[in-house]
Amino acid sequence: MENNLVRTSLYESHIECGGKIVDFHGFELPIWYSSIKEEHMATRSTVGIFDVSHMGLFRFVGHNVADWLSGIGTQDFRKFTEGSCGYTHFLDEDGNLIDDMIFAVKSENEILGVPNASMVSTMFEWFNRFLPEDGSVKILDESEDMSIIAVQGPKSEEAISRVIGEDNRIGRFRCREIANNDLGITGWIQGTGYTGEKGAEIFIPNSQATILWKELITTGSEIGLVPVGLGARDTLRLEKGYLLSGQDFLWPGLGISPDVNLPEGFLCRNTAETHVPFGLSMNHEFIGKSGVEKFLDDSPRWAGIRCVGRGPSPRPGHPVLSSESVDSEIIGYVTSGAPSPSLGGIGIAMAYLNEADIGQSVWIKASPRRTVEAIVVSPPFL
Amino acid sequence: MSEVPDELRYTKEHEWIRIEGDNVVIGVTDYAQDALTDVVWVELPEIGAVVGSMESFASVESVKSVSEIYAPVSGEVLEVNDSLEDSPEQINEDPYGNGWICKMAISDPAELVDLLDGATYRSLIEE
Repeated sequence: MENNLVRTSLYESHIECGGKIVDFHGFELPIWYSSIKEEHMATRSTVGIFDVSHMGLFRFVGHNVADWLSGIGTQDFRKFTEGSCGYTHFLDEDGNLIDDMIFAVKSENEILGVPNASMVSTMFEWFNRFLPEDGSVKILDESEDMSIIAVQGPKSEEAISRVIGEDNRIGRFRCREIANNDLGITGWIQGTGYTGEKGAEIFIPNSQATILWKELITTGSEIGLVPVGLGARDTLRLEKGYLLSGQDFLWPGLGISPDVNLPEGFLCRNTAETHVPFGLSMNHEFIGKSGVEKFLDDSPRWAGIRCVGRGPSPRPGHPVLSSESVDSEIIGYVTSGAPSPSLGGIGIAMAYLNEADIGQSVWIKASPRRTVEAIVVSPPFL
Repeated sequence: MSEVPDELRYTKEHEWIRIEGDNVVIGVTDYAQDALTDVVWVELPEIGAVVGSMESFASVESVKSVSEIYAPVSGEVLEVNDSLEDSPEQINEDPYGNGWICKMAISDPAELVDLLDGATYRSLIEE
């Protein structure tokens, strides 16, 4: 098995930083370096850096590429001007969510997209199915050639400008080629991330990854920069209510079961059900649109749940109940949940719930032995 | 380097046991707390619960995961460390002291033979 695991270009750097390495969907990546809590809090208060090289990178090239992508994704790519980024879902013909993706409009003829790590080959095949016959659009999969370092937190801009210069400060959801810098770093920078903090994701050739990482660690340590593992990446995105591909939705076309015990097909969802307020534009035609329309008014919703007191935390697969008794009616299941480091360890979760209203009390069966009270909330949690 | 006091007994599941006459005090080892990192919640056993050896009767939760705690011997739960409900971090700060989890009355002293001594446990975690 071990031979099949993929190491990113930063593997040795993670070991040097004290990273505890785990198998994450076939990639050897650090779950933490010092502790999830410390890395989480550092990202919220100063700045953290993340190796997200396991994520994919597609380059969509061609005349009218925005038109073509708008026919496939839930987002209307034509609304995005050169140098801006956005978020989209891709659905199958029945409206089931296959994957979500951050994209960047490089020019009129070129869009970059970041598919989720375990979905790269599925999405590559999916896009290829719909390529125009005249060859006017091409897709290049550059996932294996590029490393991605995310710099996230209130001091991210300062860390970036100290390392690759003032010219490479980037605004939220803006993007461009990396400007000349003393370190010789080349590639792409975009003002995106998965933490809800100010920050950027930097796409560079594998050969430059260690240089940039080390310089960020060395120079950034003066302003409190720390390396951050997958554990804190997960709690940071959970506090902001961001979907995690494969955990909060799972495309049935993959033919795999979720990691936790859930009713059959529970994670087969469309964009309306995920209740994600960005990325859906109903003013254009796209694959799976009719599947979403049916669910716009009346359907289960992915909602936030915040525990009332201290107790065992909600975790993926926990049933959500309508009242305190362990035998009461199940109104949904947790898909993501953990103690929130920013909220002093209070349990927070995202769950698909039937007919639950904001402010309503629910009970989570957080252990075989007890239920814990929680309130339905609208994410983000902070 | 994890601390492994010689006067205690251990299990492969990284619990420590202090034998006090007919009773035992139980907690998780320094090695275990270090692997868990920040403990955020401890689900204590019920006082009076009668449990079998290696039966799951409590849990320790970190940000990332929940670890079950198994009764190292058969017996009855006599006392629990209530202060962990408000200050679970005591498990990280003082695993062999203030981080103790519960005290049990032993029902079969012969089971104590199966517990590991400090040297054996030390070699287990150094593997």
